[in-house]
Amino acid sequence: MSALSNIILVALGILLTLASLWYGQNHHLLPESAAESAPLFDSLFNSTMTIATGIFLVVQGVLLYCIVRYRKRRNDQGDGDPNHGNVLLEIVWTAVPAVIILWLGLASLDVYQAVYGGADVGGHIHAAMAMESSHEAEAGDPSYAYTPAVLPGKDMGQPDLVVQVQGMQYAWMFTYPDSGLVASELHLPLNKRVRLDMTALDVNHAFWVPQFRLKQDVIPGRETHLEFVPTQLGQYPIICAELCGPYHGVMAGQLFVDTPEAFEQWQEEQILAAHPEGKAVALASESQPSSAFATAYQQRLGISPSELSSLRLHSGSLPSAG
Amino acid sequence: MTQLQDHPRLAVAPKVELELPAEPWWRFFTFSTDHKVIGIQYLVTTFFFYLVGGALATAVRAELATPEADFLGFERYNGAFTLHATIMIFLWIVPALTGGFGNYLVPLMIGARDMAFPKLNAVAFWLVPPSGILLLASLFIEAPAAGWTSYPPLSLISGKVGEELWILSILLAGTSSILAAVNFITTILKMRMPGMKMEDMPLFCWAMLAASVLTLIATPVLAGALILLSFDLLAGTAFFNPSGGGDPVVYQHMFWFYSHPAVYIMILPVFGMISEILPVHARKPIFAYKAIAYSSLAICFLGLIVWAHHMFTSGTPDWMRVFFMIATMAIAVPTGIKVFSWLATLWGGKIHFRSAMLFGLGFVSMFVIGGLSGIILASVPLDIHVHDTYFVVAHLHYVLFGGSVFGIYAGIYHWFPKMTGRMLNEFWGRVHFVLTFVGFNICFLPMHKLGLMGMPRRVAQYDPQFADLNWISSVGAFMLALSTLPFLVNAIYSWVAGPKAGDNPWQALTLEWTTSSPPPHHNFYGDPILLTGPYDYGLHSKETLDYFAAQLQTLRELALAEAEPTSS
Amino acid sequence: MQGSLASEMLMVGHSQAHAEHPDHRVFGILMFLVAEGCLFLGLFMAYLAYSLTAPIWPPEGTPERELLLPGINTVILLSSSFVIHKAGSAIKADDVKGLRLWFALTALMGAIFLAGQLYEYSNLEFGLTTNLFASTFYVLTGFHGLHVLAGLLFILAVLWRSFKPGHYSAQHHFGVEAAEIYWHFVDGVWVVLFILLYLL
Repeated sequence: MSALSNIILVALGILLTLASLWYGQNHHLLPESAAESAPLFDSLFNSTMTIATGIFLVVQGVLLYCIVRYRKRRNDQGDGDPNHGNVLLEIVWTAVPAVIILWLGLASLDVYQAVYGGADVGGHIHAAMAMESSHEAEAGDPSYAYTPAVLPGKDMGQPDLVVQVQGMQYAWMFTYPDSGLVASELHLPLNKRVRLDMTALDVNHAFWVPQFRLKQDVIPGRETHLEFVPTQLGQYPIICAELCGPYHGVMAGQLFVDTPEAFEQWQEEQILAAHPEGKAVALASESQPSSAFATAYQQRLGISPSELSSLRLHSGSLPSAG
Repeated sequence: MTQLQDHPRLAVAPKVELELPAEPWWRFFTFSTDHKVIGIQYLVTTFFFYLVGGALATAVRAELATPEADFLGFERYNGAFTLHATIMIFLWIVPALTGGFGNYLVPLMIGARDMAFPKLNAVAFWLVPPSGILLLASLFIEAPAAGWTSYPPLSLISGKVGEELWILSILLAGTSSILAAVNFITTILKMRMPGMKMEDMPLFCWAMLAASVLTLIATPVLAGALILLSFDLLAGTAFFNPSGGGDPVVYQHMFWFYSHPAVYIMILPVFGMISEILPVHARKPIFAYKAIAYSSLAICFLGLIVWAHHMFTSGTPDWMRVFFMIATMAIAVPTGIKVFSWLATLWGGKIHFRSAMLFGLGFVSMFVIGGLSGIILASVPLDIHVHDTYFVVAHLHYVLFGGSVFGIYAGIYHWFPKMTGRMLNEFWGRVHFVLTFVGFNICFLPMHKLGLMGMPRRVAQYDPQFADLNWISSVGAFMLALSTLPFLVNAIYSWVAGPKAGDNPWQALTLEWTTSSPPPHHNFYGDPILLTGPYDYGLHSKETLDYFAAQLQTLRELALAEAEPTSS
Repeated sequence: MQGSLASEMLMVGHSQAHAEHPDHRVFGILMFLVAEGCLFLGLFMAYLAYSLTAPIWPPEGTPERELLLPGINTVILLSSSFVIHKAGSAIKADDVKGLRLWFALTALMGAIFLAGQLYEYSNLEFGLTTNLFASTFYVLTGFHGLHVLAGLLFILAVLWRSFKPGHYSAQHHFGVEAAEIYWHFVDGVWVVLFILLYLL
């Protein structure tokens, strides 16, 4: 190999590294981050993107080089170089990906443990459910309610706030056990550790806030959890990320991160506006992205708005076990 | 084409008169037990389903061109994407690769007269049309609308008839692929011509072996899940219904125990075909034969123990998430070995840019992108954010379209002359490639960003902030739809009136090219002989190759002469 | 035309050559049983998942199951494996009469097993949809019962054919071998099933 080609190779290598590093930081592929753990995700994602960009450039570069350099020339009917293996090269391209993968695996594990702290994300069937297996509740009846029993998780300290989340076709419902408040939008105080105890009333849903980089399936008959600390004031979408029926796409809630004062105020307002029984129902219809679809759905199922609110009341009266 | 006919080696190739006639056209509509007839039956049938699935995909993208659900509407939209995925997986990619190419090529490549169990082979094929009819019927009766994953409890309440039709259709298709897998494993292990060791086999056979082992082990578990789902649906049991004490996550485990290996069932045969196509058109031996062969087996093994990476957000316990993350990432190693070996195969070659090779190179390029996004999906914390978003849709299409479908097209362009005896038109082949390649990337590249930014999959209506990228993506999809037209016209016209191909238009060295195009019933004239290894490009002088060709011709003459006297 | 005649002759020649190829059908049956085994394995794993994650298994209120009848049934089915093995040995010694005797005995034992199973079903205090355990119980035993029935029909078919003179011999007895392998498989599945459903 001549000195010149060595220099070219080294220059290409540097260029490639720089390009990968630059793209890894400047891909603009993620929304803003608004939770304590989101920057961890972002830095892992950025490193992965850096590596992926590097591999992408190497492979596509070699491919393009071969296409140009080793194209068949006119009038050449011969065969190529009959080289069919090189043990050293093969060892290298087995070992290098293995090392990269190992690093990425360990880094992922690190981030995973920092985000979830080895917390029990759920995945246990409710004890009560399994015992009540007499199969009397009819499938498809959205009014059957489960009695969630929170499972002890090895969590990272006690959360400042626990909210019970219920997913149903096609809405989210949030219960604040401390005040008994039931709301259709999720308000959270800034910089407080929050735990969501989630279950579904009918089919699988998934609770996703892209700005938090967090997602968790919400499954009927189980309780699953998410823990996080919101770190940015603002309004964020809560997206259902598990197919839950025809109107899955419009099942979106709103998440507000408020200052602690604003959060308290919101809670008080909601309680003031509560029903005489002392159960608070916040039906913030303007936060429903498309009430026309909700209406269409109600008509289809034959559920009247009053039934819907009584369902919410019923769920709100569940014993708080947080 | 001119360069082919001018080629000096063609001069010594056997002349057309030394061929036995091909199967008459009506044989393709019968219960034929000839593996070549069955292979073509599979390819044509599944291509029809590909067009149906493609039409559904176009409808889905038309719906998504604007943020409002204004084209199909919510309910029909769910039916459309459910049927699109089901048709593409169970009635196009799996049967086209294993049933179509596997059937046509494996016996020819190992010098066998037919598959080990020809009747079973025909039965396996004839299960596919009823399976397809059930699925297409559901389009007119009640479309299944719970996604191709069909997770309960949703699948239990979204329409009994459609769901049951879907289940029956997949049970039939699954039975078909299990029977085919029994046949492939037996054929590859037991029917190789005398003298051909495992390590003399073309790499496609290794890949088919690995894919068949996966089919044999994993498909029955899906059948089990679907049988239990049927009981829940029809008999009122509650295996997956939490209201009766059942557990929907058990279904997810059983479903993915098949459906993740299914990805490898859909990509391993393509790996095999690419390992055949690249050496032929780059005029070089495959680089690192053993590494490619054994990496297929490694992928087969690892493919069985990674299924729960589809369930990182399903409330799976910690140890499971960690184990499945590590196992999933490990697959990158054997996959990387293949990609690097293909690049090394090209390095120093003399690359002929025929349509087959264009699709082959396109495959390598696109599959790498799918592999890289796959690594992001393997990492638990990263997957949690992108799970069930358009990022996954982008990833799976880079693997299954940029990977499998590009591979299938490469295979069609490469083996069409062998299957039909006629050449496809090169110009229209290139047009097809460019349209497909450009359309594909316009359609699926933006989806990566859509998913990362917050667009979930399987929605008919979405946040208007995603409108621009979705519109671009839909334009790409329409271009993809359009790209099938030049191919269809080219294939139909060339099959009828294309220029004659001769035995070996690419000067390839695997056994299927030593017989006539199309090969006679029972494949070979006399007994097949191994004159060279499958990838000995550049290893033999022109004189040796001419000598081999002359030998083949003599053997064929002998075989024909032997047959003649008995006929008079 | 001559070409097509020649082709037919070649076909004849080849199909004769084909007949001399070693017989891979036994290997094929084994492969098929691997798939069948995975089907049962999947169902067993689902059962284990249910029983291990449930706080009480079988769920409260599941009536006690009688062990005597299934126990006897198990003994009958297991011994039938030895009986059918005798049949295999008989045909290898060219003893067609022995084959018939042992196959008839196996078929009888299989029929008794199925009858016992039906009797047990009719006396159970729970139905298919009583609870999750009941559902798994009926689906697993029922699915296995269908396999016993298929095996039984297979054995009867072989028995029927054995009355054609010269149909089975020491050299050619694929049907006998396949029926025997299948029967052993059905037996093996039952052992796992019995342990899972009755003993654990």
